[in-house]
Amino acid sequence: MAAPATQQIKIRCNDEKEFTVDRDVLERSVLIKNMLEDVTEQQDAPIPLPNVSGPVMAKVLEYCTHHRGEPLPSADTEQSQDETRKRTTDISEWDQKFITVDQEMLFEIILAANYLDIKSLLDVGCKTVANMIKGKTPEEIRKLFNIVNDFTPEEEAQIKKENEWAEDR
Amino acid sequence: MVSPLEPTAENLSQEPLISSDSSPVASLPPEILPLIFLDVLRASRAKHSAILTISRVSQHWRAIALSTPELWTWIDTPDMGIIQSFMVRAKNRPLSIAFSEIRSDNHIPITAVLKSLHNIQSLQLSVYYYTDWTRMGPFLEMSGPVPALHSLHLNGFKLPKPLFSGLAPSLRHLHLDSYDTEFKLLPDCPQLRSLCLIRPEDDMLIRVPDFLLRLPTFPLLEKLETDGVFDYGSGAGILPDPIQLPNLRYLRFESEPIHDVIAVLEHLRIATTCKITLDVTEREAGDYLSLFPVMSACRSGPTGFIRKVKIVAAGWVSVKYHEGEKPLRRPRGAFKSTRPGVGFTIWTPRDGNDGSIQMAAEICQNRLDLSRLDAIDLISSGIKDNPTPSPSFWTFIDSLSSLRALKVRQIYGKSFIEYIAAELQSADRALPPFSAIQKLVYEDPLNGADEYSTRLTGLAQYLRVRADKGVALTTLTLVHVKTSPREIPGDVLDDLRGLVQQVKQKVKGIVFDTTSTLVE
Repeated sequence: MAAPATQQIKIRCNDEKEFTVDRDVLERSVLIKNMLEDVTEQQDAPIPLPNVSGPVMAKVLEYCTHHRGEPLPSADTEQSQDETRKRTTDISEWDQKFITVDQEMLFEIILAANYLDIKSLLDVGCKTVANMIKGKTPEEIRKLFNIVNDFTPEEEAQIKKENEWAEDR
Repeated sequence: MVSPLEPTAENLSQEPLISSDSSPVASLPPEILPLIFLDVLRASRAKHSAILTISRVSQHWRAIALSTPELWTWIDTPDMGIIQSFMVRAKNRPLSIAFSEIRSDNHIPITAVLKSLHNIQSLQLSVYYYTDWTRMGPFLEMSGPVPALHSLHLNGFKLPKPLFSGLAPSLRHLHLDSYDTEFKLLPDCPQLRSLCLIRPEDDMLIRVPDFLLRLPTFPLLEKLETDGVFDYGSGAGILPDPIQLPNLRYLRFESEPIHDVIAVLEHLRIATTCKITLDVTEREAGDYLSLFPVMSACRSGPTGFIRKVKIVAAGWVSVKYHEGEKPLRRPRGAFKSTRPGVGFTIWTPRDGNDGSIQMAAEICQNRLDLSRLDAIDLISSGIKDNPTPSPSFWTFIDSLSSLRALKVRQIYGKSFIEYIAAELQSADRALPPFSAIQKLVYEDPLNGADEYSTRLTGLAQYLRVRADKGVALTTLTLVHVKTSPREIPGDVLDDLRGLVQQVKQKVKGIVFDTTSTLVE
């Protein structure tokens, strides 16, 4: 039997921070939804989430609360959603404001969304990073994300030569 | 050609996809970066350039990119180097091909990609405008099966026969522009969702009966658009029984002969929720009225229901219907043109009518149910040298109890606003015209407009009266309202700026389009 919508669930993050959250909000996470479905009896002990910190979980819960009640992607809708996704990289206004965070938090949110299996949040995170990358040169991307150029000069020359015919098109 | 730097299947499996970077992005697991890279490509116009850029950032990113075949499936430049290397890197994933401005002296890339026709999911080809595109036909080898083809967009091609062995089993989107192919020879497309046909060669214009007879072979069609494809007058022939298209949600006809459109609409049975857009040539705008009843009747369910009307270039309506006391009839034979469907001879005088306003009144007189109409968009609807609106116009306006938004765009000569200003003088009115409207968009013509100060003064007067009556607008948008000193004397400009300041105080929100130079 389905649990009442108002049931409260406790979760515990890797920094011992605990949250008590409405079940329907938490069930935006497929991981937690499956965990809850496996529990047959009332459980008072908090669900441990060893891969998410308290501050990141707070952000994730903010997202889940805002989007509570929206249909979750199912296997049937997977294909059509993929088609939609192919056409647009738009992010809704609320999601844009929500995801306007520093880089470290952005990647933490992506990691959490991946771990908790919240596809829509993962999409928002990936699209945000993609929009940061779009239109930039390799050097600008390295600078943006503090990535070390670990190509040897020979490799770089070879790649550049390989890509010569693609430049300035 | 595959670069020596590319990981092979063997060495990739041994190579840890972990970067030595200390950046936050390096914390992402290997399965996330491909998702981000795919989103970069989706957001980029030049997709081949985007993925090449990504693969030059670091060893880690390059390894991820090269081990993700999906990232190399978009080929959007007819360069043989890219085509060859991308096809290798894409392995056997379905390809998306998009070449534009193809010239007849450079057909080799097309020939190369069409060798993988069976593995193409999206094909978009467009010839260079000045190319003799009929010479391209022989290079299009498209007779083979296309099990993966999902989207086909061709501009300027003579399509070979037979196309795709007569069957495109997965095709969902078909867009043909400036084509030279008989409509009835298109392959069977049982999954087709979207069909757009634009301006075929003159001898490939479609007879309305042929068009209608073919539609049932696209039972899942959701979107149908044509632009200048109907053979003029062919709707008068023998037509089939009504055609059911229950999934259709968008129907658009542009530059089609009005009476052929009517013939099509009379034979379609579509859902009430289907949106219909008709952009006829402005020379035929006078016949719009005859379309409204048909547009209502072709919908199943309750009829006579129109929610939104967009009227474009309807400047001849009142001339046709009311020149003096005698209604006019269109003389037979007056619509001669080198190309049927477009470029008709103008037979009505352009001046001396109140176009769209009169038309709106006539819609009202036709007793269509407009009680739920919530927006009107008047574009380029001539209101010229006729300061007095038809009496039925105000009856019409006052009957639109649900109207919340009004766009008045590209009105030449005497302004719509001036009509309103004149009406404000009427002692009979308790409320100013359009009192229910909350959003007003006013757009001046891009070129050739004059009398800015008169119009703006009228607008300010209207806004003042509304505010005084307690029915202020919530949003005012001004577009192309130019007040540069070159066009208006300095003292008038100062006055206008003052007026706009007053407007600002009178409305809750004001939006200036970026094309407006009113506020600097």
